[in-house]
Amino acid sequence: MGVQPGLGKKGKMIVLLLAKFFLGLAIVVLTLYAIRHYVFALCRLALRRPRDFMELTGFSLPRTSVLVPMHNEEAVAADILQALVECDYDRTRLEVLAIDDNSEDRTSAIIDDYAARFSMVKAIHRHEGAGGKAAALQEATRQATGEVLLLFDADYFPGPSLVKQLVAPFSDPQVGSVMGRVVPHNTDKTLLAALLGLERAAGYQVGQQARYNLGLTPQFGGTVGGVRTSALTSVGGWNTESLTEDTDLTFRLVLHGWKVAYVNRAECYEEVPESWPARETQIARWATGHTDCLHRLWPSLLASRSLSLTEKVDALFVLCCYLTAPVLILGWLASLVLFFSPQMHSVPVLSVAMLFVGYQMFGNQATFFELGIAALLDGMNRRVLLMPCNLFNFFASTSAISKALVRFYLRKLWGAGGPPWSKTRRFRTNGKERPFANGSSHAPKLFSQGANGIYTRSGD
Amino acid sequence: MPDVIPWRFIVFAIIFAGMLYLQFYLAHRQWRKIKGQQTSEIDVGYVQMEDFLAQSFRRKVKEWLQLPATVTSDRERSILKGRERIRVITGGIEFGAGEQCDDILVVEGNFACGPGCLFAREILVKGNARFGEGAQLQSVAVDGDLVLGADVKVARWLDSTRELTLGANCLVGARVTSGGMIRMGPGAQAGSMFAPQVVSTAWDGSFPSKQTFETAKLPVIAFSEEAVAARESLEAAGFDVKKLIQLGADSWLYKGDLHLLAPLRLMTKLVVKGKCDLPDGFILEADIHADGSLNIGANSVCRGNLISGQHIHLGPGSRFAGLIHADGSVRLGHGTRGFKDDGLVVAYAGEVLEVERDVAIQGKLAAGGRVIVESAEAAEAGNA
Amino acid sequence: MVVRIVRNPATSPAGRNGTMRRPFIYPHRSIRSIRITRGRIFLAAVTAILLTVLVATEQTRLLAGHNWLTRAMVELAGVPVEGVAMTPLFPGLEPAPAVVVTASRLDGSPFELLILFAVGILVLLQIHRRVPLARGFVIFLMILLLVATGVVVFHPSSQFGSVEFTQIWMRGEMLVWLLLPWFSAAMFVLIHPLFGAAWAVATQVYGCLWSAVRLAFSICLIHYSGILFVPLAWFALGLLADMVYLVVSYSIAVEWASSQAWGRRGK
Repeated sequence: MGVQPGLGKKGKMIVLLLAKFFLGLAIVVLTLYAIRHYVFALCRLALRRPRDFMELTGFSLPRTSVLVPMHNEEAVAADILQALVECDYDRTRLEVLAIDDNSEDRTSAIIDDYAARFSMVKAIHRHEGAGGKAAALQEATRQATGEVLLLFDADYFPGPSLVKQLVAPFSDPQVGSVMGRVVPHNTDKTLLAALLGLERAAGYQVGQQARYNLGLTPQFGGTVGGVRTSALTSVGGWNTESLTEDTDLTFRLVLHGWKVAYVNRAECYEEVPESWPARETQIARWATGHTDCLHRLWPSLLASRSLSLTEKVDALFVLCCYLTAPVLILGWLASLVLFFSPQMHSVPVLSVAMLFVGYQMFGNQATFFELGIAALLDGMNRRVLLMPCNLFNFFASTSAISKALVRFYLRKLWGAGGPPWSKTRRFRTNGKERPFANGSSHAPKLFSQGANGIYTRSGD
Repeated sequence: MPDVIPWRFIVFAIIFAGMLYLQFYLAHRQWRKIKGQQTSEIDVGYVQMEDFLAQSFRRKVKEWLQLPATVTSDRERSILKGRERIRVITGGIEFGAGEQCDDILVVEGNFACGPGCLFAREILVKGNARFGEGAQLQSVAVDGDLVLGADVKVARWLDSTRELTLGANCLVGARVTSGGMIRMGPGAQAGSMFAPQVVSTAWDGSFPSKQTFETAKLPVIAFSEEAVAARESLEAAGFDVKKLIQLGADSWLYKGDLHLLAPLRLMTKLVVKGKCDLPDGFILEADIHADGSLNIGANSVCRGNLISGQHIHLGPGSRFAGLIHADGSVRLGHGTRGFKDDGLVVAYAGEVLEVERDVAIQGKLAAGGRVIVESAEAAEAGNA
Repeated sequence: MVVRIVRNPATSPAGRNGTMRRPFIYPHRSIRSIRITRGRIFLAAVTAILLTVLVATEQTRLLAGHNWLTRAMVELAGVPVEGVAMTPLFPGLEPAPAVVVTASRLDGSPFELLILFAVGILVLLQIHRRVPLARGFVIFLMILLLVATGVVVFHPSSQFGSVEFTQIWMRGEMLVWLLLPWFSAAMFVLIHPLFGAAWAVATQVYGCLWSAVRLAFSICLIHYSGILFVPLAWFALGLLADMVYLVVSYSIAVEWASSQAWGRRGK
């Protein structure tokens, strides 16, 4: 055994036992996730008629408040506000609450400009109180008058019909929250962005839709989605302590008896990180927030009477998903220890070896299977060929998530509070460098809708 | 030197590195191709807009009419576009029985065809159009009235700016839209029908006014913590109070099947985690959802939305002013009226939406499977 | 709802055998699905069973062929082959022939070990610096290199030769070949039956050939650098490389199936 010099027989045995335990744990955990991926992908692929509310679009127009929290968003603020004032929703039933959350750049001026020109836009300026998206949403919710609250992050670009599409499922009185589909528009900028585009497709086209079809809980992502005001009130509003207030709200709603609907057709452009440091910040925040939710919510989820067993299991799968990264690394390290151990050469049990091979090759393959199915349904004929490169993204994400979780648990161990909310870097520059910054009061058109109805980027 | 530096191995290693790169060659090549090109597009209107395909076809025809044409007769010219031929007919045209046409037709007057004709491409008619019994078409856009005889089959869509009549047992693969009224013959089927007025056979020509929507006075039920605590009125109405849980300020959840016997006026949004049967003459002022089937008795009034995870049956003579959405099937009983003052209504079934005789709505009937009108035989049996 | 137009052959113009240019409206991507018919499932099962049975019954020839190719490439790379040893895989499976080469013992040559270690680390650092996306992967490879160096320095008795490595390798590969048909069936045949079945066979053949090349390279590494780079080779060129070609193969199958299902307009 080549682990450490001077390690006694007992020590070697302990190391070997630990290695076997972690390898076994990795195999079991990742096999379960792999099965889940395969089931979701096949369900989504084969289901002929997905559940949706699209035929109801435009027939129910409740009073709606659109909340757009912004912190130093001068590069993108004008785009989202312009898109919202151009949407085809009944103006008498729509308000846009643009929240300037302690911005130090020109965000505040842009918001004020839109509020002055459009009566449907209301400016909210926050200069005190807790920072972060959840706190900004909490304040805006107090001022909102809509029966439905829709949320958009500032870097999103909603098409004209999106508000109608997102409010349609609220015609069902048990729907507490609705999530739309996110479509990255900058996938041609860097390879990372292209790979994230594939990942998003798998997450929404397959993951979210399969969960919705199977009667499980699609996740409300805190943007391109909405929440019924009375549902939000019934669960006590936004959790300002959470880094992922969206995940937190999703599970508090379902614990209370509400359902989350997913609208695959309600597509909205977003900007995905183009550089690895930005992606690392984003995924670290998600991993920390998700895992924090897991620690707070798992007892209630298990004890819940409003959720079925499969819903509970799936909820735990969702909340534990980032923990698979360190488990995977531990599994790799354990297999390294076992590689140098003489036991590796005399493993007699075929089934154990099968599991090992299955986990190493086909377990990891499951996420790719999901990507492929999403690409197939989306008709991404060319982009799907990028899939092998996603392997590097997979390794990079695994290490970034593991680092974030180590930091999270160390902070927990030392009794420190959660890490501060960190915004994902924006890559769009048109608001800053285009005419808007030079005095024009119109946002340059980032997207244009052709006569064929297709929404494409106008060019940078 | 050859003993010190393993040249052959180095060459092998280089070839091996190349083979490793080959695994990523396609990915690399594709990335170089798509870099700088927006690769994902959001198509806002595709099919979702009710008359998207008809509008899209009209737009295309406008463009095609600008292309150079060959005059084939004093009333006709033809335009070649790739492998397609567009026949433009000045004035009207009438096809005899059993005729076939494989070209796109643009008719600048009225159009008529006898029984059994086949049109394998789209048709745009700028006047009125009439298709004989058993005709087969791809799709038709008409800037006037459109009448389809019995047993006509349409592979895709139909659109008219004025009245559109579907003969008995007509089949339409996708959407039927009209700027005026859609009259559905017995046994007619389509993917969806959307018009200011959509009516089925034996429609008596009436649409109730707002006044006739008002109904008899009934016991009013509104859930509240106090009402649930007091129990009597709710238990008298047929609710098991132990099964009632408050979801939000204006909505309650009922854990189990709900079977009410006496009509009521229900004011609060209700989610029933089971089957829900409501008696004749019920008034729903708010939305209702049932995980199981939702059966609403005859002559009921539904101002809220009706949602079911399975099937919905709206009893004869009922009126609805909201949305109807069922993951399974929906049946609208005879004499059903769907309308509201400030907009249109919609009924959607994930599987089949069955429409009995004398149903009239203002808005849309749609189904994941098909919308089907009660057949003549079934209607007769019903009348009897 | 699909409504098909049916021509009357008696009255149909000559040469018109089709019905319509496009018999249905392409569904929007949000509601698309692909019907997994009984025929597809049957074909997938038949493909998987046939390939698995073929691997199981022809394992002696398969292993011999694999070994022949490995040996040929090792010799082409200039590494002297001392012979072939039979090494057991699993109970119930045939023993596999393994190429025997001399393995370099770096524990007795610290200078050589240092040079090789430094070269390895430098190469990995370069990749780390130039390819941000590959950093996580490279860091793991560095850990593997460090561990292997530690083993050479502190626990030289744990070093092993080409036969033991071939045994570990072939255990993994044999199982991959037995399991691969089932995954190919699910991933290729279900999404496009005929192309998928042919593609599953092609992937299986490619998998066997590519495995021999990778093993040959790893054996050469053992000959020149002992076990120093073996963990890297085992991690990066073993099951992970199997996964890579499966992903590549799958991406090609999806591209094909997608263009068949939706065409250019299906985006």
